[in-house]
Amino acid sequence: MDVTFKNVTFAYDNKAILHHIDFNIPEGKLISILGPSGCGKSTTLNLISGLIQPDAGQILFGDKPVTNLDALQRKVGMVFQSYALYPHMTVLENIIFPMKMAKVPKTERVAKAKELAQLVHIENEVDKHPAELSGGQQQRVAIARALAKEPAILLLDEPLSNLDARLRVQMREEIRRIQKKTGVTTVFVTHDQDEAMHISDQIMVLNDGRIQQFSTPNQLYDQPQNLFVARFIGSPVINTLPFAPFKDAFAELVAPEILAQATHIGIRSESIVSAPHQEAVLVKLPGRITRHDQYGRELLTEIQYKDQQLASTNFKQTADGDFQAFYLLKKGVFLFNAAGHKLMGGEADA
Amino acid sequence: MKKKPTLKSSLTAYVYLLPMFIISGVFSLYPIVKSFLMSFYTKYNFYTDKVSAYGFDNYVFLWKDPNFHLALKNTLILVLGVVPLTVLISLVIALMLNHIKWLNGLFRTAYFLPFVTSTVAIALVWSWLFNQDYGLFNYLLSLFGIHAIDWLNDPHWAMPALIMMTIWKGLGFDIILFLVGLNNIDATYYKVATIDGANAWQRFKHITLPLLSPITFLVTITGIIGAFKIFDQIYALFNGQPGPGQSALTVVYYLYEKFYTDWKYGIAAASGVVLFLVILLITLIQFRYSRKHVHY
Amino acid sequence: MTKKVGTFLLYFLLLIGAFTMLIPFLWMLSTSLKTAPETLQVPPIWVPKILRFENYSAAFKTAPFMRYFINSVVVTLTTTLGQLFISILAAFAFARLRFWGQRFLFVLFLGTMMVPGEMLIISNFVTVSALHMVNSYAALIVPWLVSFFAIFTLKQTFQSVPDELYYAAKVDGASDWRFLWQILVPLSRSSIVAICILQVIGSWNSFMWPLIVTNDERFRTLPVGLQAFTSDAGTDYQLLMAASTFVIIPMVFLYLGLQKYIIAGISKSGLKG
Repeated sequence: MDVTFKNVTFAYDNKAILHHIDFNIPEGKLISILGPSGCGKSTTLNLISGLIQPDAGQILFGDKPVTNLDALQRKVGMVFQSYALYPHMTVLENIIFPMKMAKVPKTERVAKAKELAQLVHIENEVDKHPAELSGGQQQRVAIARALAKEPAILLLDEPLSNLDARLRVQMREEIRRIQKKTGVTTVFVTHDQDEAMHISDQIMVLNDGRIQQFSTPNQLYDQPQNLFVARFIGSPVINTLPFAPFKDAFAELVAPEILAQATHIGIRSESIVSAPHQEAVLVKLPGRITRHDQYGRELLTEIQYKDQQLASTNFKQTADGDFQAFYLLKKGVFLFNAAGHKLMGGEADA
Repeated sequence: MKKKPTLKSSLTAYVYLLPMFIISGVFSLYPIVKSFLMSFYTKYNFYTDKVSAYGFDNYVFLWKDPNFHLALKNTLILVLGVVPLTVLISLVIALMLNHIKWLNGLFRTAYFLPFVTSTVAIALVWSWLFNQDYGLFNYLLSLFGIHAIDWLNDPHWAMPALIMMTIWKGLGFDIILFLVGLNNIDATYYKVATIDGANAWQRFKHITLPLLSPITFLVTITGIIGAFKIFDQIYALFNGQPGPGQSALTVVYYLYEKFYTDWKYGIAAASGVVLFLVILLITLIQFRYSRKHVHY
Repeated sequence: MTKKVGTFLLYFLLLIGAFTMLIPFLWMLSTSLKTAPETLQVPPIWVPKILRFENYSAAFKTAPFMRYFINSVVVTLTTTLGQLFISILAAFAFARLRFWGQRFLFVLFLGTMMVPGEMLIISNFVTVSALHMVNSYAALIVPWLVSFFAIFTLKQTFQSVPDELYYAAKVDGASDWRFLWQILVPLSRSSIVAICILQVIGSWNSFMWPLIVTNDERFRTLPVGLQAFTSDAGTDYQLLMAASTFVIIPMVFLYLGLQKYIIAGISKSGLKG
């Protein structure tokens, strides 16, 4: 079922946490809500779940307003950061619990629980208690439990943050697989942009209680709508520099009103190259290499342009004393105004 | 995620609290108010529950009543006789218990057993132990050539007998708390102190004692409050009397007598208020102290 | 070498101490199995030649101890269970729910814990008399159905259960009521057991209030009955000790069986002070 927020506001202790949020989560997709801690992403998730109610605005599931319904009535499934498995119940009892609450007949709910255990690959652990399971297994149980009531929407609140790095990658693929298999509309909250980029159909970037951008992972990367998104998405972090030292070089390239407004330039590290191949080049700039290192397959080159330092991960040529110039590619260079809004850059208007 | 209470959430909560409200309203909150009021009743008819005069007479009576003075004095002696010794002995036993593993549980059981036993029943046993002619204690004393003591009928010995039994009954509780406190002291402190050259006594003095001080304080306060309320063992030890010649008359016993034997409700209530004020004072001292000192 | 001597000394002292603590119990048991002349023997004997278990039946014949016993069981169980139920509900409200006056009520009830129960006995007796409840189970039970100690201990326990579990239960479709009984209460089992045992011990041994509100022997509890029995039995110490044993033994067994819960309960609640 799709979820719509209309002008939703939420405050706590007279402090606004969400400001007039509008969005629509399309049915059957996996959506991530991404942002730094305290941005309001968990609040958004809890508003969807019905654990809290908004101070103003409307929430719709499909066409049905659910604004004032509580979690009980909304029929959502939720996976918590700590998994929140009932420690005194076995795995099977945990999965059965929501169905028991919904008064599903006994034989039916046991069969369904076993089916779900199979779906999440914990069919061999069903008689154990949560404390006997590994973090990854607990995670699987939590997902199975959340799916048990056949939720209209599955909500995941930072579900991977308690797992170690390797398991995190594995579980993220698992969640994607399970979501594809069940087709349930899924909302995934995370502060890890890499996680969001890998798992989502679409990502909603939140900051300071406002939606910064809501689009596909690639659009976020290629066409960030503002400086915050540009900085938040991508690793290493995009080079953001004052625009003034670049102004002369860009004089010919962009419209005068943009030139006048731009205060910052954002350059992706892979868009700084020593010699372009087929890529469209934006501009050639003079500079010198101050450092060039290789870490495994990663390259990191530091280039000095005027009094600015730029980092490149795409600099094939090793440092030579006579190196004089470098190129900025068209893709991955953005100009922002003082308010942080993007003025130029990204394929759409490049 | 905890939002402010709403009408709905408040009503729900009140339903959960309702049984508590009703019972405690009738048997805790109302009697607190009533007790204060009662202490100002100077003319009261219990059967009709009619009060014809109010005043400070009851307090004036207490101020002048030598029996009440005696009760206060005895209570104070009881506190001073019981609390320091109980704390000291239980600390020593806890320290010893903390050093051994084998049979530890068995020892704990033995020391704690008096705590779970009926005060009345065990006080009866003690009165038998204290029996002048056939009691075990006098027999043991006779082995050392000491003459038989009439513990329970000699006004000089009634209080020591009461104190002995009270200490015996309270040790286990304090030992348990001290053991918890000792257990909470991080072993690394001792390692560091040993490396720093502290010997066993210095470690005890500079680590164990200071880190145990919150527990010591707690045990002392609960001990004082407990000693103030002693009643059952007096009643049973001296067979329904406050000791020979009032020698074991305490504040609570005084309250009981005024209330149940003499039917002087106003005076009984007033003595209850005095008891409350003393306990309040001790509790306030505890609050102040724990705010200041009990933060590690 | 010194360490070994030290350990030996430690055990020696602890053993002496433990034995001293147990003397009254041993003396009680020993006396309860003697004949009347044997009780008066000097020097005293610890183990009589013939163990006179008939002292117990004799004590039972002299006073209606079975009745007292039943009364004590009824009063103890009803008080404990009723108090537990009321405490669970109240603790849940304080720990989990949001309501107007929450802080005020909490402080108010916390404050009442400071008031010595002895002070309330007078006006509670007046209340009980006015309600014509003297000499009834109700008088013995109802005033003790609320224990603030139990409520606050349970509140702490409930609060130690992570919030997420509550939200998970909500999302899973459990109402507050079901969350309380199916998640919170089972999870707080050890605390609940500890509270119950401490209450059972307290109810079983309580003396002053039952003494005041019962003068009909049909409603006496064991401690009150025992105290009344002392005047009847006079100097028959073997009977008195048999009766005392009978009053003490149930709690001793309870304690031996559930020791770890009692100790844990005291450690937890005592430390909060």
